[in-house]
Amino acid sequence: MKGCVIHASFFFLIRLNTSWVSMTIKILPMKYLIIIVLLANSFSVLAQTKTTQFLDEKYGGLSLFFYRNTLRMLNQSDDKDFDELIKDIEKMRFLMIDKTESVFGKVEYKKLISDYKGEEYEEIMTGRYEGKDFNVYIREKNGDIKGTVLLASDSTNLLVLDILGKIALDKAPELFKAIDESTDIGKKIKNFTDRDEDNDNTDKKKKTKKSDN
Amino acid sequence: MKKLMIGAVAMVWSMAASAQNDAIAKFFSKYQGDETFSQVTISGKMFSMMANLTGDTEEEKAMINSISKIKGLKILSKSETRDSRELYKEAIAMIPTSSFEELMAIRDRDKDMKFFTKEAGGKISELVMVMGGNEEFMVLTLFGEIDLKEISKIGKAVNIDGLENLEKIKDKKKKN
Repeated sequence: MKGCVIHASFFFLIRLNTSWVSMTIKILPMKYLIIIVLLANSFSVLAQTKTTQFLDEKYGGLSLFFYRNTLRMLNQSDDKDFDELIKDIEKMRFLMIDKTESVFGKVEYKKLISDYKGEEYEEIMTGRYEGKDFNVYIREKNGDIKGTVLLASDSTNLLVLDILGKIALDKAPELFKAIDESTDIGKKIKNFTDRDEDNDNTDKKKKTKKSDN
Repeated sequence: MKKLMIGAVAMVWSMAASAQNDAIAKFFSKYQGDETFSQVTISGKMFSMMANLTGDTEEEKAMINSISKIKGLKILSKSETRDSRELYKEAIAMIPTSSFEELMAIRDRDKDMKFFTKEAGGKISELVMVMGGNEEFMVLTLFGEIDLKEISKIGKAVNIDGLENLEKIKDKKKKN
């Protein structure tokens, strides 16, 4: 099982930091998204869902598409676990929308969720941590997962990962090993995940300076 | 007539049970929209998907089996807050003592923690954990068919560190 249970399941490792009950929600999916960086030269395919397609058409932003074959390009060391991980992914689409440039607020986010549900997507996980909202949806047919959608949103950005197919749950940790690369887009994603931590640290530094004075 | 009576009793019983659950749900819905709180909700669907995982050892298999029987998890927490003690008291007060039994209480110098369980048909159907510290608060509810023997392991697996305290129950039993 390789140490995976919930955290291996759907990209989110739950971590809520408290000192005694140190429960953590750490948004691992962002790490997954960095994988996209490695595949930046991929080509377009049709959208997985109408909702994602509409979102892209309406708000623009960064939009990337991947086929299973392009995902396989990642696996240069022929890691069997990685092959297993992506074997059920047919297509994958990534969107990153700058909410400061587009009018995309809470109302639009609620409508987006409603639209996915309208396409028979079922919410399996939802959360909020340090000002970031995240949601995970799946679409099933005859007990088989046909689609997976991940949303992550803060005050400035909306990230969407729309997967046609599914990820082999028990192989998910293997993906983490393969996504430590970084490029411009990777930095953007990392900035998204790290922004609040940086802000917290800056605030703490300011407080320390004030108290020193 | 007898059938009608049984039906009416069953209906009243289910309404009462629903009202009890609503008490905890009410607490969650009260603060779920408050952005100063962190929150996580995981559906039973996600847990049931765990049943498809394959464990390498008997221990892993037992844990996967236990996880697959969980019907949902909700967590609400707040850090760096001054009203954590008030939130703790409020949450504890909302737990219906008629259906929930206090399983364990831990009191530290600056933090309190309580575990409550609800039984149905001889099995634990819900576990509630409430923690209140000087600057932090958390309430967790886990529902479904809960195996206390496995729950501390599940807690470790999902990084909910407070749940490892349930191991103390086993330790106490061993000592006795």
